[in-house]
Amino acid sequence: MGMHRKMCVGTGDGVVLLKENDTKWELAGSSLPGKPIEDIVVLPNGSIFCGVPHDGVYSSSDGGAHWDRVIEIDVRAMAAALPLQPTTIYAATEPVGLYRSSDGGDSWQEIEALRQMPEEIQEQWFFPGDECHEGHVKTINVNPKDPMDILLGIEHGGVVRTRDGGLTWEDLSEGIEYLDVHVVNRDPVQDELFYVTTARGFYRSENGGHDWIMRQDGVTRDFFHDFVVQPGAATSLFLATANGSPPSWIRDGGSKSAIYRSEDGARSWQQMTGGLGNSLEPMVWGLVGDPEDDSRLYAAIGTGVWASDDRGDSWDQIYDGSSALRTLSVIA
Amino acid sequence: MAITERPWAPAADETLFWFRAASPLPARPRPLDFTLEVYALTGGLTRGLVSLNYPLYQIRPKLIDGELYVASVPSGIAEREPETKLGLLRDASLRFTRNIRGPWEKAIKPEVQGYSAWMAEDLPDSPAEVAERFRQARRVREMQWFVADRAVVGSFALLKSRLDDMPASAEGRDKVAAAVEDGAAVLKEAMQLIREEGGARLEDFVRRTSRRLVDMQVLAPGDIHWLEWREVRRALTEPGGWKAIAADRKTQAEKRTTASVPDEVGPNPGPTALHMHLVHEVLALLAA
Repeated sequence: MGMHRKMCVGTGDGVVLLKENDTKWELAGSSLPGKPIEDIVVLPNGSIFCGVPHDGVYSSSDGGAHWDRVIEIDVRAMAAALPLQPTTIYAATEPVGLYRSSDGGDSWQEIEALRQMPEEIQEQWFFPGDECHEGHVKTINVNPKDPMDILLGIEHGGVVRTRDGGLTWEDLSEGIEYLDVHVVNRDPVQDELFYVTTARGFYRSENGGHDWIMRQDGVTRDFFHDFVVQPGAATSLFLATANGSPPSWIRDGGSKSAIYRSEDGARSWQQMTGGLGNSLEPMVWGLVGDPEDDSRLYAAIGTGVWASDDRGDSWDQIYDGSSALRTLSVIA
Repeated sequence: MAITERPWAPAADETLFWFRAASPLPARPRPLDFTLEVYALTGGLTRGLVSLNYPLYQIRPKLIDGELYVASVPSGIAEREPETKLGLLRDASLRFTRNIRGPWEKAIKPEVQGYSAWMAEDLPDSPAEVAERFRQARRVREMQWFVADRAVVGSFALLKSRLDDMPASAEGRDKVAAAVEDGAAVLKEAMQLIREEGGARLEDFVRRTSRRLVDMQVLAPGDIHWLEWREVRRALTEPGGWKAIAADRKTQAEKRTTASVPDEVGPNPGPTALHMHLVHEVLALLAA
């Protein structure tokens, strides 16, 4: 440790800024009170972007002191096209839609071809749990080696991909049984090795999403959410899981969530219990790696942020707040 | 726990067991009946049962010689770990069946009524807006089936099955029997609101859309039932040629004989097959 990282934590009640001071993390501020933060992007110039559902994308260029709403959309996911396009940001919505800003958030354009996918594909985009019953984009994954190559995970809809910056789109959902897609990510080394979590499974595809194979040997939970593909001497995967689905977590024991690690490309998984115990009552909603240290990880668990500096073997709580955490972003 | 090394795909039609289910659906649906109400009911039922962890992938509808059949499609996830899936179903059986009336009265019934009210709203002015509303109508009707199939129909089938499996002398059987009795009353009310009232609202919605298409001279009265759901939307925005399509389909249907219609088609996996678990019972509840 001994560095001076910063962390933006999205909560159900605004954004919390944490600062690392040698080996300790300190609260550096909080803002956007009352706004549920669904996703956060931080650009290399320090600008912070927060996505608020049913509201829009908020931007701050002064470390969170002042915020401007830069686009009014029902935003559900965000991503930056780093490292190759440091001023390009994506924001995705419900109903399924994707917007791009190439100038650091000043102007936005909708990528219209996504909504022009074949009707039989769009009929899969159906979220049976809110007023409009439309699916929404849950994850945007931009290829760090080729920003024209973008994957979208659609919650109740599947996975779609563009390789030309959004001009054309391909559906990659075949083989995923339950299309409640949560997170889609790709291997940092093998270009066409993709991973997906749905509410009911973890899938791996070695050929760019054309053949998905369920890979959860060793996982004793049945709800799957965030995961990290962590580079290093050997790529490791870290997976946040729980039992049942969110409505059932009001029972005793809560979500019974746990973090698992795989060091063989998801062929087998081992639960990480150091500091966490066998079962966590609150859900692990966020998992992120460290931008500079492959052995470090951070988890958003309930109202707290936990950190591990030994590839998940042991965990310590570094922050506890008053509002449920939803997403994390760490800046070196 | 074995690792599946092959990508999973839903079973193809020709490998499935198709049967003529007791259900509120028409035995010989016309194209619009099939692509609107049949799709909405089977789609909503699928979502409801899967949500309760019934070990199946889909309740799939199909027309064979114009007759309606359904099949229960096996789930790759359930077949991979059947004991885990049945454990989750047992868990759902205990959690969601203690009080079927409570959630129904508090949330599901108003939601069901809200969907019927949506269907009863006036149609918008422009044909493009009507086409969009026609698109949304299938989802609304599917949602109406889904919320009740999950909270009432699927849950009641689990509850009834639990009672049937209890020995007569089992402790707590009286409580379960009382819950079944009350659940049956809720089920009856739910079917009245969805099958009868919701069905009538949907029919009226289709009738008003038909009237609009007749006024536009795109279709003759009654033709709308001979177009598919997507075609009705296209007819609203791309008029021309639809009368001939409807007339041709009507003629073809009239020529079709109903001499010998088997009740089952394809290999019967038997009642103990994982994906058939309580499927016949659930479909019977929809028709009761």
